[in-house]
Amino acid sequence: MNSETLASVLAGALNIDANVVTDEMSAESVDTWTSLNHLTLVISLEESFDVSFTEEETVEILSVGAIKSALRLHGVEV
Amino acid sequence: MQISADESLKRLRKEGDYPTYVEAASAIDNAGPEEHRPPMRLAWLRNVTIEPLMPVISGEVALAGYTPESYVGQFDNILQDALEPNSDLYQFNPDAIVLVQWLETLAPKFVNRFLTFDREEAKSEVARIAAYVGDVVGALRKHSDKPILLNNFPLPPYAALGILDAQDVHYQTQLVIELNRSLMAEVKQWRDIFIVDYMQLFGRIGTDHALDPRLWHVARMPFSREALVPLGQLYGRFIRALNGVTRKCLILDCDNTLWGGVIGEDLASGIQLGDDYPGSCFKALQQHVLTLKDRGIILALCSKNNEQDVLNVLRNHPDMLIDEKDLATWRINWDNKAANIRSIVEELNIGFDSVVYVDDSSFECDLVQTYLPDVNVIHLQGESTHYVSLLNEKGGFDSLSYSAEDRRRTEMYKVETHRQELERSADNIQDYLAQLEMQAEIRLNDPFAVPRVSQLTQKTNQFNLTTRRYTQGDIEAFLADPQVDVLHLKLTDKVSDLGIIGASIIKYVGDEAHIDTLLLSCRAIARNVEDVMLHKLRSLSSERGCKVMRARYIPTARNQQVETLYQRFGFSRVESDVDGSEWALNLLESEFEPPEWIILVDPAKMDNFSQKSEASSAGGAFG
Repeated sequence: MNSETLASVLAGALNIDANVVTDEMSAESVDTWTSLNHLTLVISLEESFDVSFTEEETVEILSVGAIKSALRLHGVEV
Repeated sequence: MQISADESLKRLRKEGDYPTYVEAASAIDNAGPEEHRPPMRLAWLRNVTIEPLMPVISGEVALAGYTPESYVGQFDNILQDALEPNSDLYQFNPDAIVLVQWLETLAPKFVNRFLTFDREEAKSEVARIAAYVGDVVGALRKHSDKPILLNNFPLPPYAALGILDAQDVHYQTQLVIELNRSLMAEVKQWRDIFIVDYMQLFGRIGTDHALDPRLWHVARMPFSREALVPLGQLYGRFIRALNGVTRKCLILDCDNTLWGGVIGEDLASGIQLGDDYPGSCFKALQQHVLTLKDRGIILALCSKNNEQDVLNVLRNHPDMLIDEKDLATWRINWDNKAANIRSIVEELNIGFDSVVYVDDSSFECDLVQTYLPDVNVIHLQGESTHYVSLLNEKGGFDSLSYSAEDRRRTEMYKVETHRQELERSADNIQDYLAQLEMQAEIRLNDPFAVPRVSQLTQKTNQFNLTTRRYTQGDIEAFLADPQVDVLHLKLTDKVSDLGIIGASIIKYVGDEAHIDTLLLSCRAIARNVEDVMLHKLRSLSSERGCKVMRARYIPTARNQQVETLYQRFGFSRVESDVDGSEWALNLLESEFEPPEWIILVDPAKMDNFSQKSEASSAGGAFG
């Protein structure tokens, strides 16, 4: 299930509990969502969902909501 | 619902893809150190972003049986970390040191403007780069006898001269090859320095797949996501070899492993082994197995068959490459394979963790793995055309000549020989910084720099005293304000142009100057560039007739390193609480000079500055 995959990718990259993932979570609100962990996160998302984000998307998907929108744009139901 | 470290490692053994490594690294991190998994401390010194590689490294370290602990040095701070006896690197007390140096950062002109060199200059540049790497290793060896891993350089994906490039030894591609050779020669002076062959790895994956310009430009990471797992696994092989986690014995099944088909059903005449497909796949596997034997790996067979039937094929089949004399022993019978392998291990007097077992049957593989968890079980699945690659990737037969005995020797530096250039090499940080020939250019209130200055305030976290985030609009407002100066610092050194790497915003209030913002990009930390900036801020304030300069330190999770920065410049701490500290400098009584080795270049155009200072003396700062 895509939403479970997304939660577990976030959990791994940001070292958080997969159960607390919400759409509002963002680089602003999560301490471990540093720019370097964001990079790991982007790569992990691309590998898990087999998508390739553009440069702009890469730097802009700084919240779970934004990630979901970007994934949908790339044909992933989430 | 976090999975346990052991569960995540099980998954990793089955499916070693990037997200699984990330998940495993997180689980391992949460589990913390465990009794049966001693720590392995790896220190990484790097001039590019490598953080996304770290989960793969953690996974590999854990798979090798250790708990990973890592130190990742500051960006492009390699020689500083190596030279400083009390640096974070040495305090971390690593078990091994890994250098990741990207050629484009070490020698940008060589990579991006190769044709500006003439033949002699290009040769010298190759020598300079090799000597620099030698300096780094030499500096490390002064303080540590631990193994050092350093990478060589991949070939340029698009060479400077296009298709002409491959035609001459003096052109770019061949010079990179020569550079890689020079690296090998350079490091031979010391013990336990090992080259990680990026040239081979990137050749195998293909730079089209292994390099990602997007990640380079956005995050200064040259590797693509496709490269991360193979690269991490390559380091994994070194990690195992350095710790003696090396497999010495290969036990093979026979049917559908050494040949296609099953003797019991197809008879010896019906098995597939020869120069045509699919027999050629199995012949290729036998050749690889014999290469392993040539390397010193012990071979054995473990097959469910009548012993005579297998020996018949070994002795009489014309395309059989493996011979009885190549085998240390065999167990060919109808007993269960775990018991047979145990019997082989006892006979050869080796450990289970020295053994690799190869079989095409998932049933047998699961059985052996369940009963003998320390055996490296390789399930030959998928196309037989890929069996050789599979065995190459998963074998675990790597070894290096490094041994525990070597570590105890006190005369470890006896082997070190000195070259002429080594005498000229940097002995301490100051000499090193001086020979960088740094030039700083400070501009004031430059409208062209607004985007970059704004970006620096948004992105800089470590060397940032107050972490105030400003939009371009905010910076433009400061520019328009006669009571505020916005400075930016552009830095070049003899190797490269680092661009705008520092910024400061200073506000004039009465006869005081307040430093609102002071920051440096992580690319320029540890070079004392801040001294130049503070010196300029001082002169600006004094020129305006200010008597006191004030500054704040606002603590965040990331900027601890600058907590007492102002102390260095003679500021006194006026106040200190949980929100930070307040500092003050009496401009009339204090004096400091910027370091000699950074030359402050006056920019040609000072139009904005003179406009502003005219405006301010007309009515502003002196109230």
